[in-house]
Amino acid sequence: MAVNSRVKNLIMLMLLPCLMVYVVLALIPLGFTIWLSLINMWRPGETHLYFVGAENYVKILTDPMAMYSLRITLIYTVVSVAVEVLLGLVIGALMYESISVRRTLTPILVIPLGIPPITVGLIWRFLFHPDFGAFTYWLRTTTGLNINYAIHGDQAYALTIVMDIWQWTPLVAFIVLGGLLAIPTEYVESFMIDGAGFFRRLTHLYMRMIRSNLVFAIILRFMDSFKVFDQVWMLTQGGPGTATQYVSIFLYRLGLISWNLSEAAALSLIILLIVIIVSNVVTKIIKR
Amino acid sequence: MSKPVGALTTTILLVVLIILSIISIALISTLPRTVPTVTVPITVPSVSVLTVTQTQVKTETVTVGLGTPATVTVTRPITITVTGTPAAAPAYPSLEEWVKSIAAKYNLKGVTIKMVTESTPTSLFIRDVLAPEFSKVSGINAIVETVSWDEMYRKTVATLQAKTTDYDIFYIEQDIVGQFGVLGWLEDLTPYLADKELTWPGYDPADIFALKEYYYRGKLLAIPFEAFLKIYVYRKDLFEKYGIKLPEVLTWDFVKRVAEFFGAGTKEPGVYGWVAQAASHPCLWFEMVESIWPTFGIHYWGISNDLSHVYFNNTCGKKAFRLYIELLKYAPPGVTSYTWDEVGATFTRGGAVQGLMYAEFFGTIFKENPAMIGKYGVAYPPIDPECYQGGYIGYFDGGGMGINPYISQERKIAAWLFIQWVTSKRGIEEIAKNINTVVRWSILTELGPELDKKYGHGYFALLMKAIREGTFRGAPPTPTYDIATTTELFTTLHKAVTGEISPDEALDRAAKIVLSVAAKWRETYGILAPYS
Amino acid sequence: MKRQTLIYIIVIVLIAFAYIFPLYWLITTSLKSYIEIYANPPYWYPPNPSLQYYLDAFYKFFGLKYLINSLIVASTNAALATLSSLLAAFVISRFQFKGKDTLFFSFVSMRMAPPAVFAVAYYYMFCVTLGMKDQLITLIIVYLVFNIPIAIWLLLSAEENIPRDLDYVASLEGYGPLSILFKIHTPIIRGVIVIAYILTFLFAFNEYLFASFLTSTEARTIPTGLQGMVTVAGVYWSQMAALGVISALPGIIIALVTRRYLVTGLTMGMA
Repeated sequence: MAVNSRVKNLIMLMLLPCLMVYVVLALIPLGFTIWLSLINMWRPGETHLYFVGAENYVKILTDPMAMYSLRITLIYTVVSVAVEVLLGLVIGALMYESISVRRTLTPILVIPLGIPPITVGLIWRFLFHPDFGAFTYWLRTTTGLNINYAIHGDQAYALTIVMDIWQWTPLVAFIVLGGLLAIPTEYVESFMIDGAGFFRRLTHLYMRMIRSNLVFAIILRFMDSFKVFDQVWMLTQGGPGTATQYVSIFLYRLGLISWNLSEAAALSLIILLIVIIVSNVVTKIIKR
Repeated sequence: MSKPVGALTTTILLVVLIILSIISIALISTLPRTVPTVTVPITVPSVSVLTVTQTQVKTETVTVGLGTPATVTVTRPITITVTGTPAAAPAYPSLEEWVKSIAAKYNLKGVTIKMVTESTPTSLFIRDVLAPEFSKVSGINAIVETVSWDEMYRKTVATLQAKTTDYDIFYIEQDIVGQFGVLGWLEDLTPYLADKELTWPGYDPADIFALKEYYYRGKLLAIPFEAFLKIYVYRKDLFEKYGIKLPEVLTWDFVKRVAEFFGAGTKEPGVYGWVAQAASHPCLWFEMVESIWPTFGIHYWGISNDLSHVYFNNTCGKKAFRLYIELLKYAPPGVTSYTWDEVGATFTRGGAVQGLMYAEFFGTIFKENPAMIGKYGVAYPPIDPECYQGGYIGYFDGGGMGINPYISQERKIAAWLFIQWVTSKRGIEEIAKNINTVVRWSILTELGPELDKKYGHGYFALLMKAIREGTFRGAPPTPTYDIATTTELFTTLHKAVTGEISPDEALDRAAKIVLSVAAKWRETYGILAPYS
Repeated sequence: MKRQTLIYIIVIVLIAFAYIFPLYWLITTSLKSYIEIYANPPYWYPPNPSLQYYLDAFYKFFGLKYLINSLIVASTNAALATLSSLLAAFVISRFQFKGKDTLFFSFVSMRMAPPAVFAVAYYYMFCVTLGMKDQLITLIIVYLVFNIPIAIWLLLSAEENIPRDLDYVASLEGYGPLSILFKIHTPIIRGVIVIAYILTFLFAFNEYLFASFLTSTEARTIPTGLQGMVTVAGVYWSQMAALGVISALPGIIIALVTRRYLVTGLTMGMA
């Protein structure tokens, strides 16, 4: 397109809203967070503030609870996203190939996307409450399995992963479906003529053709899953013990309940760095 | 396949949505606030022999509400006692009239004051009944925001730390007075009480028995509106049914045997032998320091008053924690996720035969499930005869209203008026009748026996006994808030509850954690005053 | 063929159960009393269904006010996010300038930071400095920080898929950039625009942390209302369930009504 000075001004104007948001809502808080991470704001009402250099970073990186929290969050994210993507691929492909499946499943799969994560936490709390949960009772009477996520940390952990998968697999499925629908039909037909089975079609054709969709799905889910808070808070509040104390919950407790803002700021920046690096790596690998 | 939908339709859709949003915003701001119409009976106190009683009815229109004011007709029955002897001069104006006059004098009409508090039964009552009353009488708009305990602390600290004026009044729980005092975060109320103009002549602060817990180094930091004990509650009817008699001095041994007897809902379907607040939450720490350890001889929260060492992980402390965890197996399966609210809820549905409970929940229990009236009894918490060597045996909890020191003088006066409205004799009486918590000795002696008879629990008699004998204390003036909300502390304790680590190990770790938190404050606090 | 249909049916049944039963359970819980909820064995249907808890949720727990607040914030913010992202996506796609990729990445990275400490920053910025506490407009602005990344990613992909020749032809006919965007591109990518709006609406509707921090009584949203009940739960499970249902209804309705766009709008093109 021809670019003269009038167009140049127009371009600046069109970029302005997003730029303003970026500066005001991202850069300034980032600066504030960096400042916080370099001072000694360790308890509420601290008035004598001074520069402590990298002390907060050292403290956080050597804090066993913080590192533990990072570790379990990473595992949670990787497992959840992996299962969501795999399941989403299969379901998306099924919906692509069969119109009747697509018509039946679409309204059903759309439901969890409209539910706030906190209500999802509430739903699963009602389903698995140790006192009156439907599934708790059911599992106890049919298999004798006594599920009590309020005592067994690993059960709570597994339950949060199930919740994540339950709510977000449909989103991945739709992203996959959208990508598949954009493939020109000639490609698909030529592949089908060779008589390839479902899984062959999946791995050799579909996954290759919807690379950018997969990248979008993986990175979106990774970003969001890593920061999980609402539904876990509603379900377990980080317990039992520290079994489900993911990074956001740990940060919330550290920064907004204990008011140790400086260490919380340091941890926030570390997390930001992790997410940025992982996103870049994933993009590069898939885009190849 | 797809119907042709033009760019026009899409843009129209977007524009319509934006317009809808704007219209909704406009509509919301004009919605009249529903103010419950409350008829306020005014009684002018009589001072000498009364001879004639006249009843009149006065009707007036009062302007209430925000935004578009609505006029409400209020009918008030006025009882005027006319005295025969000429020496009878009215002692002082009624609270209502006095508040109105002060509000008028300082031009407080239309001023808004905001209070943030935990959704305790008492606070909800203040929000729904006392605050609207006050707003109507004084013209000051009193808004009460009730949220969860966690959220309330967060908002309070955020406001005070940033020195903003978001809230004028905070819910100040008895155990946080020390920490807020040390930070200088609350307005000193002693000059207000002493001010003859700003304090209602009939206020009578000496009547408030809980007031002494709210002083920090000579400054009065809050006025309490609720005070209650954490006591041992048991199902009187079930004890009778199975012939269980409460011993003269309650021991943990007895409690354990009763818990075993009723088991996990085995004796009576749905009724468990025990209930506690064992969630992965500060409530677990609170239960230990407030209620369990004093009965094992560990007082002052197990912390020395120079904050240099802790002793709750001694033999008695460890014995106590082991017993506590053992009892949990007779509680409902969800007990490891219960906070104090769920304990109250368990008693509401009659789900446990005994347990330690904050008495404020009696109001909720009997309101939500009237079938429980008459079924509960109370007693002093059980002790361990070996470890307990004397001293207080239970926790005297409570909360009050403190004023934000950073607001304008005008709003401070408005806030002080609201505080008096809530904590005057009449306010406390209404609270006591509806919620079962009380802070004034006069109301306690007047209404106590009546309420005991109505609900059948005998709590108020026990409360009077406890006050006289001094057997219950509040929290020590240590940095309680900071310690209690340290995640590592209560999650460590919870790991012992779930069996991940041993109780002894958990207490040793907890000791280290408490010491490290206390160390942060040692200089600021200095040597703490022991319990008097 | 028969075996394939059988597999389809099994898959459909499993998925239907997995997603409908939890919702059913939430709804029945909202119609049971506290005592009934604790019944053992649990009631699979409410024995004495009562709408009382919905009334409580709407009025006693201010569910109605929160619902309206959430709707206003979400719809306005989604519109703003979609519009600004559309403009920016067009520019990034169609014009060459230095640092284009960095700019795009910066916009997307706004969603990567954990919200806790940012919430404190926003509190200081909006409530302390600007005094905009407890107002819907604050949320509408703040939510842009995590909605623009989504919208701009979706819209940029969509823009990239529009052939440049179209622009060339249009400019020959004298169309300026804005006209090209709104008269030519928009009809082509309307599916993606709708999807961007829906997703940003849902994310704004469901947000908890910032809302809890920046609002008090008047501008409170539904997730904040629900979380506020977490520790007060006790006897109020029914009302909480009712509030949960109320919070889920708008999202579910919108998602159902616009599901066609969910299917066709997430194309992202091929790369």
